[in-house]
Amino acid sequence: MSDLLRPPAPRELEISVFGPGFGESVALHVGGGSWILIDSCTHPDLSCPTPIHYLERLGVSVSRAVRLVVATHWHDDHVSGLAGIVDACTSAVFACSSALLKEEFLTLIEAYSAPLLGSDTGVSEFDRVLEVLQRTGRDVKEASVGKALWQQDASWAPDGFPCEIRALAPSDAAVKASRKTLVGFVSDLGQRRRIPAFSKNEAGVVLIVRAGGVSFLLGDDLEETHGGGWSAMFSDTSVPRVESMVFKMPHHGSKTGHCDRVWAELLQPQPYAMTSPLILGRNRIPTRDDVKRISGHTQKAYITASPQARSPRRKRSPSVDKTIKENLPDLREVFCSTGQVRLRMIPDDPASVEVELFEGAIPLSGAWK
Amino acid sequence: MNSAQGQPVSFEDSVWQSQGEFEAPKAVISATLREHETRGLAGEADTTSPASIARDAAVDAPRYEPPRLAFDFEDLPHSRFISLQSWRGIVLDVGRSEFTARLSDTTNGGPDEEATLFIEDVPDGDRDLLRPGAMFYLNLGYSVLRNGQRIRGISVRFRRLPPWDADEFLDARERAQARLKRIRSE
Repeated sequence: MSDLLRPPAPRELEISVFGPGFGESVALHVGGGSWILIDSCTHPDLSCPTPIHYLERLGVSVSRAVRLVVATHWHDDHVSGLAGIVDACTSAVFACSSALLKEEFLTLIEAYSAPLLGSDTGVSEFDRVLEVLQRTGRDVKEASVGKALWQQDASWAPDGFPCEIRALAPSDAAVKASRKTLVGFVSDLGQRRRIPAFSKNEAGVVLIVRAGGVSFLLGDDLEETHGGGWSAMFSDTSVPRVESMVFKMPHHGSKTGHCDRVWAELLQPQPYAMTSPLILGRNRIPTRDDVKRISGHTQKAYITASPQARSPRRKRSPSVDKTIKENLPDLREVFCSTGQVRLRMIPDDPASVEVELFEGAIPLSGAWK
Repeated sequence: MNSAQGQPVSFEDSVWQSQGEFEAPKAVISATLREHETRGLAGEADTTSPASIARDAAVDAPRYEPPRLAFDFEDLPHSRFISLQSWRGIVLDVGRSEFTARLSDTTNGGPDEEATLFIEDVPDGDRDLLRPGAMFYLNLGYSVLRNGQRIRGISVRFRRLPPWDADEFLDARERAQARLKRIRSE
């Protein structure tokens, strides 16, 4: 059996970050065979969302073993295939940012669910998620600062370990700012319709996972915004000041997701840090400067694929190829990998940490070499 | 050289002359002179091309940029467009002279692609639609003029989705309010 397909032991804590190049998802083994999935991404060669594919290859029954599914925000690159995950994980509680359970976001869904636009977006994926939840009669848990989303004590999972997952964001201020942004998408009367484009993610769900004696900080895609983002989170006194040893870096390690106070106050020195690249045309995150900045905080950073990765050019007829070279010189297939960064450890034994890199994942220090 | 017919082509004059006939094009076909600039079908340098002449005449001048021709092929009498390849696109990012888009191949299917396109390839009448999230159609092929001349290039046409009106907004909000009541949250 390859190392990739070796399931974690019941008392092993695992965090796996998947990042195909445009998208990101996280799978957490929280002991005793219980799994948590955060966001979703897909790969064209796989018949199901990437984290489901991974768990099924490990021999996990996703309908029973996945306890919680979290949607941190609605951007396309974090929700691709999410309805499939919610549908497959029938025992899981679904949680999302409280900003997404407000009238403004639902109006956006209703406005953009018309077949007129005919294109798959984060909004239409969320529409499908809500349909699945309604069809299966499941509740939605609103994630907001300080709220516990999932808890497991030792008696409930005797072969596991105590574990708690709590939201550190969004704050009330961030939700308010997000509602204002969202209403702008649909109340712009007289403007022609278009697919909702990304705005800054100001009301995403940041999570802290506390298991045994360790904690992981999962930074979503949270970016610094005026009045929102990380600074708003720190202004909330209910945010526990726990120093985590593992950090899922926000927004692909970009400077917009960086906050010095996170590294200083919420992380141990030299934490294990992981992320995925955002490869969007010529935009490549993390940049060379991002890598340098992160390397100044930790030497133990990993990424699911190189931000420099490129797909080969698709073969077409000579006549078409020639015109493409002249008019669309950088036309490429969207880069897509099945890269995965996996960290496993025994919660009571920080020395047991094992980091494994699969399918093109690399240490971040090698990202721009 | 015209790669389709293998015959010498000097289309610059007719195209430039034709260009003045059209206003506010709905779709643009952009053709570059790069193939004339560099080599013909046999791979030989074309020393009679405008680019070569310009290069020879002004060695120290700034690098020659082949002109990009734009005209409304749809309004050309007796002209037709032969599409060789088409995509549906969504604008991701708009820069000063270029924009990045995700493209879905509607000819052969397959995984999505990404490309950077020149803003000057967008018809003047569509420029106001060029914003992140806007949808467009991208065609690559030949425009056949009435004299049989073929011009190879791409055309970009933005999808003119109807503007929002107050009733639609209110309808969407009503449906959202009803849905909000159905969602059981804790």
